Amino acid sequence: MPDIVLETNNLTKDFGGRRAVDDLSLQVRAGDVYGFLGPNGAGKSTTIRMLVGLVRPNKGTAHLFGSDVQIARRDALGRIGALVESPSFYKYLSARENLRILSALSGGCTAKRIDEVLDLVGLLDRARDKVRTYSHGMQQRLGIAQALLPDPELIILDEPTTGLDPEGMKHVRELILRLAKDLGKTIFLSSHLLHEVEQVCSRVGIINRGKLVAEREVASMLGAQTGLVEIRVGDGMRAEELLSAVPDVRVISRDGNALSVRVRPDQIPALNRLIVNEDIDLYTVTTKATSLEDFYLNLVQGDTGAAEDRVSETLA
Amino acid sequence: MLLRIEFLKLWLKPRTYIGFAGMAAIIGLMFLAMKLGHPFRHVQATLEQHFIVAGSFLNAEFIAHHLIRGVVLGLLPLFSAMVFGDLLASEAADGTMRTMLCRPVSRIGVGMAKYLTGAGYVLALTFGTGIAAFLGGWLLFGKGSLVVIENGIWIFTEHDAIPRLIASYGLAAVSMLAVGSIAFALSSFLTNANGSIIGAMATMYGLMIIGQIDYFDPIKPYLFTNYLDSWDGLFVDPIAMSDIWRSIGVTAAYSAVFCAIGLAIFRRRDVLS
Repeated sequence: MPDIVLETNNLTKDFGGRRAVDDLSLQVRAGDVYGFLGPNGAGKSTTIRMLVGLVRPNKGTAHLFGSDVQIARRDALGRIGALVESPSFYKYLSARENLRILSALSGGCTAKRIDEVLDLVGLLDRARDKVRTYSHGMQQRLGIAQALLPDPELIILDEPTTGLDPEGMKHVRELILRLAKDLGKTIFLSSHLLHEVEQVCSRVGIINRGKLVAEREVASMLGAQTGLVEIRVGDGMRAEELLSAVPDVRVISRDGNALSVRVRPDQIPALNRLIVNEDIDLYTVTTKATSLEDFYLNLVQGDTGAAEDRVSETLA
Repeated sequence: MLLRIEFLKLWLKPRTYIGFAGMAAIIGLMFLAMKLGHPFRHVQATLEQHFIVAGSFLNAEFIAHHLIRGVVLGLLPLFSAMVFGDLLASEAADGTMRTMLCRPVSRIGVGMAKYLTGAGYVLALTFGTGIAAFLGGWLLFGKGSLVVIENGIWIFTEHDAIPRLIASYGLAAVSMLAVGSIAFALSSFLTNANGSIIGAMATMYGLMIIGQIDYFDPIKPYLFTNYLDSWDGLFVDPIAMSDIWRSIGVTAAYSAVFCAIGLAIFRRRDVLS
């Protein structure tokens, strides 16, 4: 079993009378790109703040590389880089000066390394400019640069694409994938952007109202077929009659020449042949998989207690 | 390392220089007033009642001594509170504290480095003010004996005056450290630097008012504001050293207690901004 690099046990945080994080237990393994999903106010940022020692939990523990963040802070944070919410810098300093100061807090790094990370996020040519002249997107990229600075094994990114334009978002997604695939980094990515998580993450944990409501492999979720196949043919009526007669195949709906059919995956080739042999023009056969959006919305909308059952039904 | 970083940040922050600019402006105005007018006529008149005055008492020593009286209760506490109040609160408000504390650093280490940086600033500002006043006075009026008309008429030779002046600025710095420490303690839980500055100044003036009320006489020896003018005691002969040590003890105790309070709060505080 791969090493656990991040682990929380019954992590709980109250602010006044409000419970922001409720008995949260999760695990991130080495090499994971872990998507931490949840609606606004679900407790994502509070969880991350507890992970990096900014907030003290009322109950429970957070361990990074086996070290308790509250007890062995230096050991726990020594191998991570983090971007917590929107990045903040000394605006009267240049990007390079900011990184020099922040790197010194992590044990220092070479000027070359500073330039490397600036280059990685596309800010090398603006390295000498004061941060106050930077756009929000540029500051966001500098935030990612400072997280990468100590060459960490685990990178914690809290909504890293917030405020970025589509091109910037794509750049960050590609960067995350590159860090994970090429450089073998473990990524803990908090986001409420489903599309983003679906594209880059290998595992997801979904938090709602402070509770972890699901933790799954993304591939297993997306790979889980709904059993629905969309078929577009030249003669929808004839195809419907034909398929309705096939055992274990159920035509759910027909919209003109487009049919929605419930079928086992192993039956799809035979179905394909059947339609063609009956001399019906066949244009497309598309299997419909569960999207992360389906999964997520099922969980976070309405009663979360029943949500897991609904998702299980969908996946079954 | 942390201390070096904090000094570097202070060095590069424009707000740091407000204090120095303010003191330079005060010194400049003072020199202008001395050149264009005669603001110390009362000193001259008092001296002439007892002595035949030959030459001028206006010199580097006199200006350095006169300046400390003018700034200890006015500007120095404000500038000290400004820097100390800024140390934790402004970083919390700006969010840079969050970026900083995500790293493997000890909070006590960070807090202590910030406090020592503030202390360094107060020392630099206090002694910088004295040095600038002395050098400017030397350049414009020359050096000589120091005349002090306070608790009688005291004339100190140049040789005797300079160590007393240095010690008086040192005492002023210790007092300013107490004001700064209050601002530091407040800045450990406030996210607004202005709140820390106003709070520290209000505490100082509040304690000064309490010190003026007879009812509070029993606690008066424990109020650091009671010793803000203790440097005055250096310009008599002989110096009552026990009074000087008591003033250092009380003001240093205030600094230590408020520094400890600030660090304790900072260590446990949730960083939410």
